[in-house]
Amino acid sequence: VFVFFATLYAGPEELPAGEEQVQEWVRAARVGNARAARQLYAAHVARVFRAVRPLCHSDADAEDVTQDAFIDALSNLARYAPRDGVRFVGWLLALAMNRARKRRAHAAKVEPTEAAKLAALDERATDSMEASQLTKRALLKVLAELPERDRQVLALRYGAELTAEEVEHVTGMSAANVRKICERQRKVLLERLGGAA
Amino acid sequence: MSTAEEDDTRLREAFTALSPTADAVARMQVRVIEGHEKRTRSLWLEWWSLLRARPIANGALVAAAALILYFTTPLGLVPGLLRPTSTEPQHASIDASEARPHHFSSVELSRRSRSGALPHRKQSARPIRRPVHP
Repeated sequence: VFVFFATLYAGPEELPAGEEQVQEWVRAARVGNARAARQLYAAHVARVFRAVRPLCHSDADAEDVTQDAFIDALSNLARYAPRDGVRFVGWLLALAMNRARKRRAHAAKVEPTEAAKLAALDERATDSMEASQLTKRALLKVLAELPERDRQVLALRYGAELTAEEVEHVTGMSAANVRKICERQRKVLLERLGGAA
Repeated sequence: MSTAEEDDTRLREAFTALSPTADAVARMQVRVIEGHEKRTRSLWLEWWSLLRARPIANGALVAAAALILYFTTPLGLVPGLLRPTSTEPQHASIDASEARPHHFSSVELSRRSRSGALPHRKQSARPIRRPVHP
């Protein structure tokens, strides 16, 4: 009875369309609704994975980071407070980026650099690979050559599809700086991808 | 659509190549949901997180639930059972015949300081009343 009445409570926050549903799932997941937790996961997993993948050494690493970020988020939903202009995914990605950074710092001590790994993989690339796989490989290679800060901004902006203000919330950089980085690296990325294709 | 927006769209499309496969999504989901549901958390933390999530609404519900439990179940008897049983009142009799300076020993004094009551004194034997014959 307590859980039922607790789920009826609606917060005072006003958010853009689409985010309202997410906030409902958040409220339900906070009081132990497993279905809402699953819906939150399903709605955000691809974005989180795309954002952390350029910061990780492999798909397996990105999977670990993504799942750890989701477990962190679902376990600490009580700490989440909606902010104006920042969607739930912004908070989730802040956790994921933190996880990715820690893992990367730990892995840097024992593993070769990402550029070296990708170069080795590139030699083994065959013509039988699908177009999406080739795009993925080319994109990761180009991103690996960028400074980490720029790579993080691009991953959040285009991988997680965040706005410049949301990227500001996640990274701490100003929105103007985020736009500047995107503007500068956009053409570089497209040229390199066009050349690779 | 301006060139910048077109470029943004092209880059977003390119980034979709980084999306996880269906197998990876299912694999992660199993681990996430299992990890979330099987995490060990104390009952106190569960309640604390409920109160932190919505302090006023959940606090009111918790208070209402506590009152209902207190008045509708034998739970209200528990505090009464836990209360220490009161000892028999000890009255120090002051008899005029025994009025003499009484020196408490150190043991008696310590007993008094603990209990706050005067130490028990031996009562004098009651005087034998002889029947009065007319």
